[in-house]
Amino acid sequence: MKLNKNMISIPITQKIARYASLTPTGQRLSIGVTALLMQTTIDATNKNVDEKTRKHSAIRTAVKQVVSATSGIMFREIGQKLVGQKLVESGKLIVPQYYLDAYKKFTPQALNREYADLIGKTVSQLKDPATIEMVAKKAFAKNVGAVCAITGAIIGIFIMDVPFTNKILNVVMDKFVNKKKPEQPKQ
Amino acid sequence: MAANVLINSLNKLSIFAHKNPSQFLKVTAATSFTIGSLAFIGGLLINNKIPKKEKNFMIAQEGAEGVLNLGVFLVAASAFEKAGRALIQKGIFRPDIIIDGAKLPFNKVQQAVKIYFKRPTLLPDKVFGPLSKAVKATEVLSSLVGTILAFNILVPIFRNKIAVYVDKKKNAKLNIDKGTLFSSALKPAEKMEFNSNDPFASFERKMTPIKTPVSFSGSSGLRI
Repeated sequence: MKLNKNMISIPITQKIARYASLTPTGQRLSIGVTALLMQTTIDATNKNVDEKTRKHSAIRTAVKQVVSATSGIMFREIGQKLVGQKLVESGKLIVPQYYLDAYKKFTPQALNREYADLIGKTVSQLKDPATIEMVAKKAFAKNVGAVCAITGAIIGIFIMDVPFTNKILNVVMDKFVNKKKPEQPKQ
Repeated sequence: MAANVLINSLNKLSIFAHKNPSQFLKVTAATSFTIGSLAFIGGLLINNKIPKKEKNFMIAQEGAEGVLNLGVFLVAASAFEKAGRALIQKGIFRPDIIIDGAKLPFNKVQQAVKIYFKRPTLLPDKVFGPLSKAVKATEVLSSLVGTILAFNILVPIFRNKIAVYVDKKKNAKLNIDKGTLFSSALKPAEKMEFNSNDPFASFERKMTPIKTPVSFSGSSGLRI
């Protein structure tokens, strides 16, 4: 494709690359928030059913999204921070050679940028220059955390989602929908 | 022994997450979906309070929703990821590569992108690191955008359409089972008031609208 001055070109900057390195918690949160807004809207504007059904199904969808997102985020956080990252940072897991090799060829500036991304700060806020071992350990910790987060989420499905989703749904539906008008459901 | 297996698998999975983050996202989401659906179906199976017919229907519904979620998610995530990669190759997404404090000019970036997708080992390390990071980031972000669109727009729309279709089919089936389709022919002819202004008014009164949609909403939805 020929390049010309009029072509739109979007730079993938360091900032954008940082959003891509979201942990599973961040991913679940972004999916949960968008789902809450968009799915509820689609259910509330469904032309195929009548008004009462529209309301019922919109509230139902909203409650389901909130419940599953809350449990998903909680178990992911626990897996990420309390299990995965702690295992690595306390030294119980040794950093594999792959990570040390992956960062061996980075220049010092690149190492600083990687480290700043991994701990969520900017390069100017770093106290000491980053070494290969530091960056490798942080990256390893983050990825082990991601694996434990997903494991935690799957365990959480069995602990919280299956037993409680329907119960919470029934409670909310009884309280907000089957009661008469003075208590409007939250808009 | 078990600890060694656990440590080895943690290491391998974390290396996978580092090497190919967009694939990691897809695999983990697909796994948590499938397990979520199976768990809900299991929960329904061991629940003794639901009558059998309704239980079978809910299991079929939950299974169908799980399959729909999984299929739409995988297709959309892969499609958007490929689109993101293609946009980089065409130059619409331009990786910002900073070497020794200076930004690499656009034509050099395009050359590097071409080499990266054909023979990445030829690239010098200073260029390979930031470029590979930018490409992986684009893949993950486009995959995430595809995921969000799949779950929040495509799946609800499909689900609502399927729900109406299944509901119609279910109502038709119930009528045939109860024999109302045939028994109405044997009833004495009802008196139908004729309104000359609107001769079809009496027909309208007999039709009842579909009150409740099929509860695809009886299931639990996304469990990523």
